[in-house]
Amino acid sequence: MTNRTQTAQNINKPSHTLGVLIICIYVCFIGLPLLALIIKAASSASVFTVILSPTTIQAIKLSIVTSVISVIVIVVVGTPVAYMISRSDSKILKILDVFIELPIILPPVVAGVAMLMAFGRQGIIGAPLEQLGITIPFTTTAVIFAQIFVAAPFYIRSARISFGAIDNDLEDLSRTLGKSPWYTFWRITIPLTWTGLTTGLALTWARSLSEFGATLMFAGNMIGKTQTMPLGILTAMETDLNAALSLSLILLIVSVCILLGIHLLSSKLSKYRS
Amino acid sequence: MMQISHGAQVDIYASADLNQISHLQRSGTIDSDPILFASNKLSIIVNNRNIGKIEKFNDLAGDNIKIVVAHSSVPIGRYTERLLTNLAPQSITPKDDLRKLIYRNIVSYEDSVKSVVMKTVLGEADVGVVYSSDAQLEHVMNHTYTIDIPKELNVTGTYYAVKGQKEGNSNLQNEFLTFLQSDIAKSILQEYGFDTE
Repeated sequence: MTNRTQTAQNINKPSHTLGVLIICIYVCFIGLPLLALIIKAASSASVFTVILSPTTIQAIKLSIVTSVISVIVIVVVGTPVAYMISRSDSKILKILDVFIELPIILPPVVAGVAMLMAFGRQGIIGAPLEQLGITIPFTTTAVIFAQIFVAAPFYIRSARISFGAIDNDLEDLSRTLGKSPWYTFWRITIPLTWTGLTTGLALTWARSLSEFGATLMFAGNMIGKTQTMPLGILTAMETDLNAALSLSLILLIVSVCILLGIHLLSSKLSKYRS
Repeated sequence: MMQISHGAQVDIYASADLNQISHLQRSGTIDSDPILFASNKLSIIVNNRNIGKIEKFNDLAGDNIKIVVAHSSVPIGRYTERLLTNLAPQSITPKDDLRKLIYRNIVSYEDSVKSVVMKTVLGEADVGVVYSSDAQLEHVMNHTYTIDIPKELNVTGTYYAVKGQKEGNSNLQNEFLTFLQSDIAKSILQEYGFDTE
């Protein structure tokens, strides 16, 4: 076994070296700026005062609360949408499939303007809502709207691909054995697509946390209400680079924790289920 | 400013904030003295939907009014803050109240005066605090009107220009700075709503 691996490695040597080289370049390219950020932020004396300041704590809280709500909404609504698209032959759903990815391509600022045109006080839906006394812009709800709009495609896309990749026969088999569609969905479909779903979940969550352009445009910037971490970073950037760096470091740590957490949970659960 | 202090090479740096220029001078990035070439007062623009509801400065303290201002990390935001600070001793109604009520109505601290203008023009905000030069732009005037700021409260923003650290263009740099103070430049600036005296 060991011998065979070694032979295989020897045969593949040129491409192997090339592969390692490419990985090194990639790691440096992505890693260096992040490492620089960490070093600069950690070496600034203000890092703890910034982290412990009430403004920062409010921004972290708001970021976590809004992104959790956004992710829950996206999963609850996005899972059935993705499932139907992957199982149906309907032309309308096929077209919908293309449109779902649109927010990924839109520059976030455009997304923000679009949200204003729809849900703003003068917007298509926003104007009648205003008559009823409901205003969305400049509220925490607007932050969640912006996050859902921008981040949902990442989950739905990943879920749709996963649902499409599993063997329909397994689902059919379960149903022929007299199991209900719900039972089949929970015990067959979900476990088989678990990795794809959690990957999508992690991406969507990360995107919600880092959402910035649409939020600034649609929700504004108000401490405790609409100022999430990325907005706090921009605000600090204008006056105090060190504060901005410290905030960036915190956002980075929170994001890494979430990504790692989901990854660990996912691999543990998929082992358990199999 | 951040770009210059991190090594961006520029011929001329113009700023609405003398502090930023002083900061660059202290750090040794820039060594010549800035010249004052224009100034700009603050204006309060109100979306046309509020005609009859918001007519004078004190109306800003009313109920259900959405005010957007710029964040104090940009010059216009600092001027706005100063304007509201000026308010305390002179207010007609119970002193702190007017100021508190206006602060209560602020719904967002935007990252630039452009966003303040945009949100007021769109009507998402009822009121925006901007530069007089912004208030005079045609597309702004089409959707908004201005209300007077009591003279003793208003704040004047000043614009300075200074030679950057980029070398080799000294003549051109001087020429441009001289031009900025010329009558032609003044009339152009005035046309766009700036004060030049």
